[in-house]
Amino acid sequence: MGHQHILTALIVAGSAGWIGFRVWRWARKRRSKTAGGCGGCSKCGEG
Amino acid sequence: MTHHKPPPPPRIALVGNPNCGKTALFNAMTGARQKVANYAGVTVERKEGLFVSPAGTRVKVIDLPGTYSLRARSPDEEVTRDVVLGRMEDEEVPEAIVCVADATNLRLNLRLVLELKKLDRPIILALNMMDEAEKQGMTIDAAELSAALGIPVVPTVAIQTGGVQALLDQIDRTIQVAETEGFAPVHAQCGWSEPNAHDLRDYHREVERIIALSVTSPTRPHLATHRIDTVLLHPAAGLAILLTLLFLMFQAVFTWARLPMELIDGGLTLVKGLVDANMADGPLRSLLTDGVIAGVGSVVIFLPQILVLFLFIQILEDSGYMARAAFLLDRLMGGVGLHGRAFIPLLSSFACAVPGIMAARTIENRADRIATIMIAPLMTCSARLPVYTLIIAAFVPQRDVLGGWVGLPGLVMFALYAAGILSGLIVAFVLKRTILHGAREPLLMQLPAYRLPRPRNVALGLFERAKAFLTRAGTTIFALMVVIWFLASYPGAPEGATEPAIHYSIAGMIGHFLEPVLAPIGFNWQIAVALVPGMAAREVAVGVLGTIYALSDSGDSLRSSLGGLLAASWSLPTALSLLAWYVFAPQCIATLGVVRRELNSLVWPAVMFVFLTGLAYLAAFTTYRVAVAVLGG
Amino acid sequence: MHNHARHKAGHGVKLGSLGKKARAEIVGLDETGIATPLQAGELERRLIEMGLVEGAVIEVLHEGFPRRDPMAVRVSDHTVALRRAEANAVIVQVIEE
Ligand SMILES: Nc1nc2c(ncn2[C@@H]2O[C@H](COP(=O)(O)OP(=O)(O)O)[C@@H](O)[C@H]2O)c(=O)[nH]1
Ligand SMILES: [Mg+2]
Repeated sequence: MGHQHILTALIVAGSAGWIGFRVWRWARKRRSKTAGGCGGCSKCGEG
Repeated sequence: MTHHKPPPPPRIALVGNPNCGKTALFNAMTGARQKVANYAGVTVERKEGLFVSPAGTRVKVIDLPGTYSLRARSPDEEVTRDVVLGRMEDEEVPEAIVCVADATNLRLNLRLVLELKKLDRPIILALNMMDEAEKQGMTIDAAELSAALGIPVVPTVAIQTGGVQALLDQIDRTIQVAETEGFAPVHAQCGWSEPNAHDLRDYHREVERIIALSVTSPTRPHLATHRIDTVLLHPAAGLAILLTLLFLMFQAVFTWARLPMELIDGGLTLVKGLVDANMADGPLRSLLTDGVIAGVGSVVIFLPQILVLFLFIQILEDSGYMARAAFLLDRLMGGVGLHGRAFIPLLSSFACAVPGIMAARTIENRADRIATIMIAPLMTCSARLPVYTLIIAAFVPQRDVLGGWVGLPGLVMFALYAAGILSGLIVAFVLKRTILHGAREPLLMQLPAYRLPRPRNVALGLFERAKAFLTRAGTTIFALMVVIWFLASYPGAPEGATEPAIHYSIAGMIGHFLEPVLAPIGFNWQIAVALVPGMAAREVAVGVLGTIYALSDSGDSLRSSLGGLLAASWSLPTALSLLAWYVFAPQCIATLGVVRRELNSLVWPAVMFVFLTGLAYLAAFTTYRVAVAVLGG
Repeated sequence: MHNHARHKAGHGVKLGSLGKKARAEIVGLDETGIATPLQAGELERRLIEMGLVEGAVIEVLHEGFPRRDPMAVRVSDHTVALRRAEANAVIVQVIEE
């Protein structure tokens, strides 16, 4: 039982961290005002 | 050729008329997979790539939007002008220019070459589409042409392996010459200035002279295009065919995708059964079945439908039909004040509004462009497809109408798309009559020759789509679903709880908090929860519903499909209301972001958000109230 | 800069008035009186850039809907779509078969 809880907590924390990272990277890209590059719809895999 | 400290690689810019194969050349040179299609305005920004030349030099290539002149009429052409003239911030003038020309259509291209020569940069003329020229029986004397223009001329076939070898070799020679002579001073005042009508006529006469010297006209001109257009551009038949095509597209989204979707569904059920059978009950099992399989799975299942949609769009693009659609619709779209060319960004918006809004760069007039951008999100994007099909599958009976060859679900889907288009036209009409009025810019557009879509190009496009979709499902959507699962599972139910545990979870609390706002339009708290992460990516809303209903399920039911669960727990008015909401669906964040960037303003994205949300609420409210009145709550 | 008044245009007609299958030679460009949001002289330059220039032989290939607008015109070896309103800036001399 303990294993399950720890593993679950890790996955949840990892996912939350990953989302946070993406948002941070996206915000940074937005601010750096690079010419070109897409807005990050990620439909084209370039988000 | 390994120096101890290599100098920055020389940069080469690809310049040419729209649709002459610049991007295809770029892809052939660099091995990249940028999108090519048979109409003007596919490339709307600068793309860079690296390749190693036959002599071993690293060279940077820049692919640019097509243009007829350096005068730059629209924002995409400004990109080209600024790169070529070195006006781009933190960027030098490119060391050399490869001017790409469609060999079957040299006049307009050569005029641009003469203009580019004024830049005093090394120029190479790539005569692309030589395969087509040969097929038509044209002969082009490259040596004569080169002598007349005073620049090297190489034939290329961008879509054949080895078809760009001559160009690569020539690039080496040009770089070598430039290196020995020393690259021209980077900030040299160039000899280019905006040509006036008189200069243009002079260029034109010069081009005619050169063509008379070096090119013979086709002995077997391409008559097929004219014959096809006699039907496809026929005032009545042409429009009917366009409508039929769009209609077939939406039918196919349902019928062709059904089997693979059932297979994926079966696979998911199988995996869920395996997990249930082999794992002890606990949080991890719930995370896997309710979060990952029910959540991510309910998004992945829509992959076949998205691919069918893209198959159609890709074939239309590759064949050269897009420009015809713009031609057919110009007058009708003009009725609401839109430019015929707005059709292309709007059609791209059916895939995703972000590239669609960027494609609006080809529209030069700012008011026209803003109007197009504002209605782009009303064209139902592919991320809304999962929401539509989920609800349609759950609530619309699979019945044939109109004599049995049209399915009711496909018809409802068509109606939803039509509702989006229609409201887009109305919004454009209102905008153009009020804040964005002004005359329309002229339509001056080349109609490209038809080409058979190349299977390889189509397959590659679909593969890229599938890859992007699955990557996204495996990363962003997976992570979001895990977090949603957590929010929907904790804290657990208190002692003596009467409702399923999710009721007392964080997600449940958020949902209950939002519910009063959404109750008037018939949304329950589960939908409220799904709408919030739906802002990040709309298809996630479906995943969230999957997870929430998986967690709410008392457990003994055998219903595995989300559709079945929804059919049992929502009323029909609620379902219809949600469909109406999603026709307008306040934009995803990425769209608002790209609007801000493209128009360089915070006002327009704000306006867009407010008016879309308002419309969505109004539409959902009306739908819900009418449905309740007609059908009973 | 304005040498568009090569007065062969005296007995010329406007491209915008031609019907399907008509063949004609361009004899002049004159954008006066055409309503466009463009700067003066700009429409003329664009027409030239699309190959619609004195001496070019054109043929009307297709017409849109409604009111036969826009029109698709073959200009030497390419096809250009344009609206009749702007086509009126192109003065042509019809070639009788
Ligand atoms: N037959 C033939 N087709 C080509 C060649 N190069 C490009 N194309 C096609 O021409 C169309 C326009 O190409 P694209 O690279 O998008 O043009 P761009 O607008 O200049 O970037 C596409 O349908 C290509 O597949 C070529 O050398 N031969
Ligand atoms: Mg391109």
